[in-house]
Amino acid sequence: MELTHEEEEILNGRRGEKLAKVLEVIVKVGEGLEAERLVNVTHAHISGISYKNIGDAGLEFIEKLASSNLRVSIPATVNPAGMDIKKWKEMGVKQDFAEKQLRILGSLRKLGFKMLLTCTPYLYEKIPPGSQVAWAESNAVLYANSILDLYTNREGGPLALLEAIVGKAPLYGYRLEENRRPGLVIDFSDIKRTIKERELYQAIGYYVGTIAKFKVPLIKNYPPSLLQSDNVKLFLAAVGASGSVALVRFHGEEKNLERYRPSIDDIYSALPADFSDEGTILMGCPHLSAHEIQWLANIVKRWGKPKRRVIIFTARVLENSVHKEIAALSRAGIEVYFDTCMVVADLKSMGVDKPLVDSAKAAYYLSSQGYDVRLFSRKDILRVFYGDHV
Amino acid sequence: MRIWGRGLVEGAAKGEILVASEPISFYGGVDPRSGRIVDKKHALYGKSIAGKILVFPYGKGSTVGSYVILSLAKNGVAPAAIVNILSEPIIIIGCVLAEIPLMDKPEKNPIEVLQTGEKGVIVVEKGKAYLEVEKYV
Repeated sequence: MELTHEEEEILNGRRGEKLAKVLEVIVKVGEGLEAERLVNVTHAHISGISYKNIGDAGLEFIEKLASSNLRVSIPATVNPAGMDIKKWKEMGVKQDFAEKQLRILGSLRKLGFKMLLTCTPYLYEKIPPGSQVAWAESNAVLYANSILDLYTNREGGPLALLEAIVGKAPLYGYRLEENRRPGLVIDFSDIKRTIKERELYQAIGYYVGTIAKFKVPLIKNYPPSLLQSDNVKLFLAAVGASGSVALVRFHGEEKNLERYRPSIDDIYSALPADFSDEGTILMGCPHLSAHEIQWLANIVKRWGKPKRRVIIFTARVLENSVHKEIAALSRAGIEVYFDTCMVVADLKSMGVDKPLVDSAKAAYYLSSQGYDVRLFSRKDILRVFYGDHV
Repeated sequence: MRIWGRGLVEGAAKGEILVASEPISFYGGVDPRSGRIVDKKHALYGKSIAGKILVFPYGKGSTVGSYVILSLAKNGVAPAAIVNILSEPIIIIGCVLAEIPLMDKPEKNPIEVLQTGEKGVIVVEKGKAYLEVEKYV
């Protein structure tokens, strides 16, 4: 791989042994992937910070980095942690877990990370279109590439962490225009109306990820409502859960591409969970936006307390901006948590056995953790809130 | 028999060969304390990878797997070396951090020509690498 003079100097230890090791990891990954060179990145978002996921191995690694006086060189944000950092006792989190989680966060803060603690950094960070960034967290990567016109691969937690320090990433994959061209077409003509009526955005996303695998999908004849920010968020999160692709194209030339035209049965049969309604409703995968919290508050205002236990997850930055709505939801008995989510927290300690979710991403990950998950469209989950009369 | 390949993480090691024909997810699939494969669906379930020249196609699963590889090394139960058909970032990052020799793109498919239990020596230098295996007759 071709390295600049500056990169050679870092590798030779001119700026310290620790930094040399960090760059060495990035260069080795680049060599493995046959990247021609490194590229400067202007923003990083890292995943893999929940103690539940990274355990003592991750804790030690992050603490060691922080104690070696390294710092991030670009604006950098973090994904949700394993608990609400204020209300962790209410979540049934044990003292030992909480202490270790706080140590991880303390080290990340020392490294210079901004404690955004959300999987939706794209709603809060302002980054000019066309920028090369280093993002982990599949739903954020898909949103970055597909909606914000940013350039990133699915870096993964450890690599994005190191890239945030050096400010460089291997130039390959989705960072190159030639790899962002569509490789197949998925045409929703036959089910366009049903998608809109039943709000099946996450369901079609799951199907798209399954079909696309590594190819960039170009989707056609979808209802325009898909592109509303809350819908496209659920859609892309589902694509990221079921497939390895990191970019969806919403318009472009079809040429002679392989073509799929799914029926509604194709969509339902791709989903990772079935439909029943016993259990606890969990919302906020990805984290609920301010708009979604307002929507939910309006529903509660109109229909009153839900008949089931409901837990929602969102970003701490919304704590002040939608505080009235959050207070209203709490009064209606809805449990509201920040900084964490259903995928990275321990649901068992929260007394949740059977999660009822409106996110195909959540359904996928909770199934893989052994939970008996039920998946609903956003519209249908309200029926589960209140029974059939809604 | 000597198999040449691409050298990704430099170093040298010798040990018993352990061959997995399917990918390995280190996160959730390998116990960082004991070095044993704990994924019940994996063909090597229950086997220890500690001190072995571990041969498998590629890594899969969560990127947290890199931290698990590092943890294995700290606990003294890491593989002596890893040979992949094609290494991806989870394995590369883990091996660089844990200083485990790593070779990929072997000239022959190691999963077909190697057998668990054979003894091998691996030498990885910048860019190139080889695995020398004593074949039982």
